[in-house]
Amino acid sequence: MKRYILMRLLYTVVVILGVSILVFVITHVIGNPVNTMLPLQATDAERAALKHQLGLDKPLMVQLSEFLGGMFRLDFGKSWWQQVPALGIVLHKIPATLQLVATALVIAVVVAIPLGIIAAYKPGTLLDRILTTTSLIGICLPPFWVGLMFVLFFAVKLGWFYTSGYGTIRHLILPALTLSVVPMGHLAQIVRFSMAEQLNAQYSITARAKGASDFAVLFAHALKNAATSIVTMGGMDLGRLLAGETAAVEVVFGWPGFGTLIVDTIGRQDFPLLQAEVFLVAVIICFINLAVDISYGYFDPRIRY
Amino acid sequence: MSPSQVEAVQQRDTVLSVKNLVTHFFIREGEVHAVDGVNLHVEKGETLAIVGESGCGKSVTALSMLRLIASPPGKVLSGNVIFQGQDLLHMKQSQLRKIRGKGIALILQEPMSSLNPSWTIGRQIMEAIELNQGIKGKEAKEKAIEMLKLVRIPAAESRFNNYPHELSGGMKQRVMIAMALACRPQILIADEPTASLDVTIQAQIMELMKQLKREIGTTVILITHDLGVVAEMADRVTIMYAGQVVETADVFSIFHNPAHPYTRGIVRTIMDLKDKNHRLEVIPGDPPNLLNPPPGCRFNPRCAFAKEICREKDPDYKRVKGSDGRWVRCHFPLI
Repeated sequence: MKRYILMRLLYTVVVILGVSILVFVITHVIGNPVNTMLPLQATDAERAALKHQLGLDKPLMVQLSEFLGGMFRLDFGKSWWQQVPALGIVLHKIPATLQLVATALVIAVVVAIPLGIIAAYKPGTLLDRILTTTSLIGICLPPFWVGLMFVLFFAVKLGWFYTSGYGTIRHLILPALTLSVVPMGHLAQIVRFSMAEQLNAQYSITARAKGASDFAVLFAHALKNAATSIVTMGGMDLGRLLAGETAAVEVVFGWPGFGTLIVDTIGRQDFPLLQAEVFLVAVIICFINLAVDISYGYFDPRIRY
Repeated sequence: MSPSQVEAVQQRDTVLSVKNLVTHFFIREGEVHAVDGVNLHVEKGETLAIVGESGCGKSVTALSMLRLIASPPGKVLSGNVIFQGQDLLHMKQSQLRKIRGKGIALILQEPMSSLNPSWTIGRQIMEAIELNQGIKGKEAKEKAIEMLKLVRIPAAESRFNNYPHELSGGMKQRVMIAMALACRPQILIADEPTASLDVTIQAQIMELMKQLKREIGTTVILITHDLGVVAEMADRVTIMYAGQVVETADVFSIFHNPAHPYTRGIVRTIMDLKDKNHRLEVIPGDPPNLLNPPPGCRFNPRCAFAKEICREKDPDYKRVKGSDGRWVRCHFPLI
């Protein structure tokens, strides 16, 4: 187990290195931050001066090695836009996003798992059909649109929540609900189908045959075996929420989190800040995956590391 | 059927009787007549073998008795399963749960998939004990280890903490037997307990079941397609064909004086090792598709004795005149 975790951490370093280099090369080849940062009427001399100041006139390999050297010290340089250390800015924005994502995931789990279990327990019933259809629709809806509809209805029409902003629970509910729709759909589907599979397994018949209650068969027997699929889907969704889906929703709701920051950063072509963001997202996703893999060992005794 | 009517059909020492059981499966292609009017009874202390080819409805019959058929697609459409004067098919789930295990326990045919892969075998046996013997915790654990020893699992104390995947197929089947016996059942249904095991292990498991039956004296329903096992274990035999019972008789009569052409056919498929010139006989044709069973007697397309009426009218399952508890479903029984 220790050996496995050590290997995985090593693997994480490789992944982060790969992702960082990829993003570095792409942005430096395609992007042109000098044009973004200077006014249109700036002279060539001014452009060259800024280019020199940012170090963008050096050969790409030199820039890359400087960047990698900094990365190992967790130093991504100062944000060009805000003139403070980039990693600091990112870390400052993370809690607001974590709050949003955690709330969304909790909503998704609390709604989807019981409903999925009930649908699997009563397959083919009206409830089952409604659930499988609505969860499919939920997966297909674009979050920013769902967010706008929620704003129109719950904030503008009913006035229950604020249309945007950050601070109270009335700010939190709508964006969290918006963000929870897709993972809720995913989870409901995976719970429904993996639980149905487990309930039809021979061992579930064995358990019922010895007199176990339906409750025990569902929660003590089947759920543990279905858990690996559910946790896998949950981990994937968590990564997806943190890495991308919050961006649109945070912008729609004016949520001052990581997603808004990343949209701003890309628009401004603030390379140091962008690199810090990519680094952090990669680290978080690698650790989510590691946690999911370790949990397999708990749920399924056939998996040992 | 009211309880009094049910009582009237029951025999003196009958512990379980199944009457006109009908279980169909509703699939996209249509309605599969998997079990179509099965009648059988089990007497206290005996071993009843239910014999038939794959797909003849043996397992569906067993699962239907305890209402363990997955629904959808399966559905028990009618019938009565009388145990201790009560009809299992028409009682509340909560009552039925008390009969599952303690009253009737089940050993399924696939030991590989019949144990929960994420529970230790010890915990699974403990669950059976806790549900059916009313003891818990440490005491139940001791009982579970006792059960593992009973089915001759070596190093039972340490095996207790094993997961199913750490055991061989034969060991898993021993665990299944231990788990079923841990329910202290009055009737034990063993559904092809050795079908997926290799031959030497099959012999060991059958020997074990025989010994345990002697030691504990449970009534056993043994579902099998292995006539060798039948000859060795059974007191009485019920033969099934295409979702129906075609014949019931004591084991001696089945082998030496079968009443139904199908029974005669399967008995003749056994090799006689003493007769050097004996050619292995087979029954021509295939069992019917149960989506669309043939009209009349279901065996008529393969029967050497079939006449006009066999193609038109499904024979009743009736007692053979002048016999002691022999039943046959045939217009022209061979005895």
